[in-house]
Amino acid sequence: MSDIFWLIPFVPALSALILAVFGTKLPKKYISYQACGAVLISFGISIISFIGLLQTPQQNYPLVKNLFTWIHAGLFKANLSLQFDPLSAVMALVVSLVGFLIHVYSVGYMAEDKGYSRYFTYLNLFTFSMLLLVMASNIVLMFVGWEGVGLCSYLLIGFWFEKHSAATAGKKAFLVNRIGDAAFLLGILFIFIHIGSGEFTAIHQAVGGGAVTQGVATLIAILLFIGATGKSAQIPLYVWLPDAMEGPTPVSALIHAATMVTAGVYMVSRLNSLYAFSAAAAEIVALVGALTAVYAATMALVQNDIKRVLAYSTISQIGYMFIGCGVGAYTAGMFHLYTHAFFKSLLFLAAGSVMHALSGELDMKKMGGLKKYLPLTYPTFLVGAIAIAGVPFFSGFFSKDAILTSAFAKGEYFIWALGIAGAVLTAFYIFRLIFLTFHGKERMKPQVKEHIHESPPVMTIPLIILAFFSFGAGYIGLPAVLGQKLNVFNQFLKLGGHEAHISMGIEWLLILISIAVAFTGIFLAYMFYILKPYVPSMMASKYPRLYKVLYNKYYVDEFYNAAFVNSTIKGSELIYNHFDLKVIDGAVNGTASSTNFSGKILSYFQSGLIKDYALVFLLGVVIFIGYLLF
Amino acid sequence: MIELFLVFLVFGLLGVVLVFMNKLLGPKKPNPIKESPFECGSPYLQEGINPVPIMYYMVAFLFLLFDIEVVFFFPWALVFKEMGSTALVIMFAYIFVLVVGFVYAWKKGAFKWEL
Amino acid sequence: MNSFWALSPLLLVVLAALVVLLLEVFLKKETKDYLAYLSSLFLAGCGIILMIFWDKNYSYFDGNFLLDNLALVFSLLLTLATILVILISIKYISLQGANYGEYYALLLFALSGMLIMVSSQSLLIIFLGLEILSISSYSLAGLRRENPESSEAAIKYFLLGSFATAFLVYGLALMYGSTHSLEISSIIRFLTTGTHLNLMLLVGLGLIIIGFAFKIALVPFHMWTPDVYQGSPTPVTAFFSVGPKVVGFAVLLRIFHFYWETAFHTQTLMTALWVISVLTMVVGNLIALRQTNVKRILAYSSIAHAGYLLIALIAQDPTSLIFYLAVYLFMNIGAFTAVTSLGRKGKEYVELNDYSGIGFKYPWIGATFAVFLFSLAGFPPTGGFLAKFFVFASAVRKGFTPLVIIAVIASLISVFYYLRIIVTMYMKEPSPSMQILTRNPVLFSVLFLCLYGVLQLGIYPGNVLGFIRQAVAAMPLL
Repeated sequence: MSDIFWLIPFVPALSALILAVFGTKLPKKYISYQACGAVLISFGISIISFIGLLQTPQQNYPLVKNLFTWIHAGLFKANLSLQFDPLSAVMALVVSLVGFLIHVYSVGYMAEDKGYSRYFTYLNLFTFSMLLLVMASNIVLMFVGWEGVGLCSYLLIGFWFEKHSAATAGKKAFLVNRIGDAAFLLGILFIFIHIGSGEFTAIHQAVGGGAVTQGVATLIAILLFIGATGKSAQIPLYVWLPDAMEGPTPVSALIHAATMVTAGVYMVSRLNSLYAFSAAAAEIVALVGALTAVYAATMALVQNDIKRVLAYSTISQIGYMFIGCGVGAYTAGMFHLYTHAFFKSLLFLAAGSVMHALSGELDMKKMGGLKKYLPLTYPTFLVGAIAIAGVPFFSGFFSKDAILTSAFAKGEYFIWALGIAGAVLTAFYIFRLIFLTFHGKERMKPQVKEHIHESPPVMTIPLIILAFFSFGAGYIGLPAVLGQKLNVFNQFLKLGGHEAHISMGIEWLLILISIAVAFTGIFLAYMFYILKPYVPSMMASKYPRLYKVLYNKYYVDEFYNAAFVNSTIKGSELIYNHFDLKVIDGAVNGTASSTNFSGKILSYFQSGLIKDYALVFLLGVVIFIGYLLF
Repeated sequence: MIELFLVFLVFGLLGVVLVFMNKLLGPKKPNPIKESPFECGSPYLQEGINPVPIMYYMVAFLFLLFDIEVVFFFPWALVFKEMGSTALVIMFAYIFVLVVGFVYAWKKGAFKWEL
Repeated sequence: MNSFWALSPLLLVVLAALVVLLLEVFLKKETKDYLAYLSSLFLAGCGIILMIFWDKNYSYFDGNFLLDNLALVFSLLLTLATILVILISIKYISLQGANYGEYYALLLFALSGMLIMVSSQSLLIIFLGLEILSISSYSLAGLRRENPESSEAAIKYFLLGSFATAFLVYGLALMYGSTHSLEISSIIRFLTTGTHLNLMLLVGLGLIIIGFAFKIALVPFHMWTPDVYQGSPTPVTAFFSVGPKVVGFAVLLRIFHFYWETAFHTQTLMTALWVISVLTMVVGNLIALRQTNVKRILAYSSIAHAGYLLIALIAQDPTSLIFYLAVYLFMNIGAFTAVTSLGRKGKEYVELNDYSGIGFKYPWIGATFAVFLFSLAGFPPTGGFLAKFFVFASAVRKGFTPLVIIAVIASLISVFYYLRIIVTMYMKEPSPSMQILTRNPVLFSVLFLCLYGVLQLGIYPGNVLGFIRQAVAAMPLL
């Protein structure tokens, strides 16, 4: 049974194909059943394969299924082969489960949209690409999935392409990702040059066996990581993710929170031997992760757009995952990815539910006091918020704590401190969100207020399920202080990397600090937004510059625009005016017109008269034979 | 050999050049009478060729076809003795094909003079 | 192995032709569609027999008619092409009012001629096959009797074809004069023992090449192609663009095969072919740029493809040649099928303007047509890409890099006019007057079969290549 795992990605692919071809003709009800059903089947197969994997002796890992040799040109060989090992299994389970719930949620959320079948086609296609990404057994196929999810992301961000901002956001995401992808592709090329194979097992062997030098490994690792910063929205390529919120909310939940953006973390974990081998690259990963975690959290403090807060929060949380990977605690990074998938998609879907209730309102300044109107959305949102804030006994607490403990144990105190700082901010901004949205005065417009209603069950049931997971998902990875045996997740994944151990006392202390930090953040938010609601605006007017900097997201977009976009445009205009118009266009037009001209001359002979045809024929014969004779 | 080729080349090219020279240099004042196939300066009075009934060609074709095919009987007759029964089989196959053609022509009405 | 069975596929095709011819005169006009299905059935049988004969090497007529694996591969390709053409003709002839029963019989006769050509070991028999093919082709071109373009096509094809045949026969005579035989094996024997360069032989060879160059439309022997392709009924055009080309290259392959192996293998002929190949690619693609008639565009495109195919011959790589022909068969018949599907009673849509917005109006036809055009242009992952890739790669390996560079430039030029059709189909507003009448399941299945072929050969060519390699490996001497 364990070899049916290769079917996992192809069920959604088949569904996407059917929807792409017949979608517009099928009834909506059927589309929903098929799209959700396909992902559910994938989830079922994932579970079956997962059980099969547990029964397989560990020395047989990973299970590989070679479907066929896709490209074989000299050195360059790429198989269409999928693999299933603990890492892939975890990812496949998370992707298919969260994917399924979000598909179901979308049935309600998108019910009135005219692009219904197109939406589900993209969503299924995305699920396929994402599963392909996490189950590929070589880096080339992984790149196919990587590009596939990028494409779907682009299509879905710009799903409402009539809206100018959506189309622009899609374009921005695409362009920024392209920078990362170029680096990623370079990394793949270097892998082929120096290792000669893109199979992950071969890469691990080559790195483990000392076939590559430290320098080469660092180069490859950094190039690949640049790709990851693009896809996973880290400094400096994070700018596209906040704008990506132009897409439908379930898409933000699935692609831009739970799955696609974490592909970079998966990639680093997958190639853990490479990053473990190159200390410099690992250091960079950790540092970028830590900086992003704090930096994005500061921006989340002052945003008023509910989805944008969550977007910055996602960037920040992925930063934590990279801290885990960077300090060698790949399991902790993956663990946070896994818990984050649940609580962040929960937060997004709940936010979607709020928007749904308020006829599409995004601005938190126009919300407030929604608690009593949304009896199901509020508690689920609250569970998600508690989980992300790092309150004990919720999943986010365990995973974040595992990362910070590892960072501390590794001796990376600076990074640990950044992480703690980020944690305060996280707790603060998420409860600011809660308080502004659900508590306090009702600031809605009256006509909006009349229509407030709780979402239909098809949307709330996924919320409840996700809330359950947001709470409970952490219990498979309990901290070491409670007993090494309890961390089932750790034992199952068994990723490389050395997780330094520290004494029980210090670990308890760290846990206490985390808890304290979480509550501090929550308390601050409570104080600012419930007890003394005038404080924030007072602070904003007292430190106008700081507020403005934060509100305007450190002016990075403006900086990028000025530094890269505008200079590129200016530069290209310059080149266009002086070089292109005159030299290239001259040459191209010259080529085109001369091509056209020669076509004209040649067609002159095609007069339609048989005598001319025969004459040409005869000339050909004379020249040909004449040439042969002499 | 080279001289020979040169001769061919020179005169061949000369021919081509002259054809094009005519086209390029010759004055062109076309009128319908000039364009007509048998130009002699005065309008023609009637079609040059009186139509021959199409059946005439049809019969001529068929006659030619079957006549030529019968010619193949002569070499066959010469080697008939040496080849024995094989020759007979082959000839039957041959005649069969001829008969199919004959039936086809017949059914298509090729032998009816009046259409 | 000497066996009468060697003739069975050929006899089956001839029998089919005779049966169809006879039934035609007895059947009523409405029931003539059945003739198409009957012919296809016969041909399917023929195809099965050909497959059974794999590795059997049956021969007859003292080895002059040999069904080796190479002949089988070519025969299979030709049979497949003919089946496809017959299937797409059904709707066409009913819509265009060219419902003549002899149509199918003529196609079958043409096929029998081609089968003779690919399996003959003697140049004389090859010539016999060529004549059967040619005479059937002339009549096929002129089948739309009341259409002046069609008659023009027929008469042009006939006159120029006879002209070319004259050269071919002259070449055969010179060949016989210098080697005292027209059997390929004895010519090889003569050549491998002789050492001096025989001018008569070389000229003979050149003239034979010219004869076939006419059939496969190499520049400057290509002038008939656009006019004939344009005037002929569209399915017949599909047939012309594939059948004679496959068969011409098959024969050239056999001739060159011994040429490569002998002491006479000089650079002279290769250089001449080099030039012809360049001319063919450049001229074909350049003139295609200016055309506005889709059939004419495809005609020039087929000329250009003959140029690419010739590269494979120059690079002495039979495998990629045959692979290219297989891909070419699917993509070209596919493209012409798409053109055929866009017709209605008494009207064909062949002008570029007619194709505005087809992609949205008839999404299936538009999309498959686009795939065929992409394949013709050589985009991955279609078969057209791999075919070009193999040919160019082996040419580079043999040291014909400049030729490949020219070929790549030529195919770049070609992208323009292929894309122009696609752009017209997808980026222009559909014209309301453009209307096709019926959706025909047979046409659609042919369309999808060709699509399948193009994609299968482009994505997973392994097994087909395996067969071709086997066939080539079995060629004597190589």
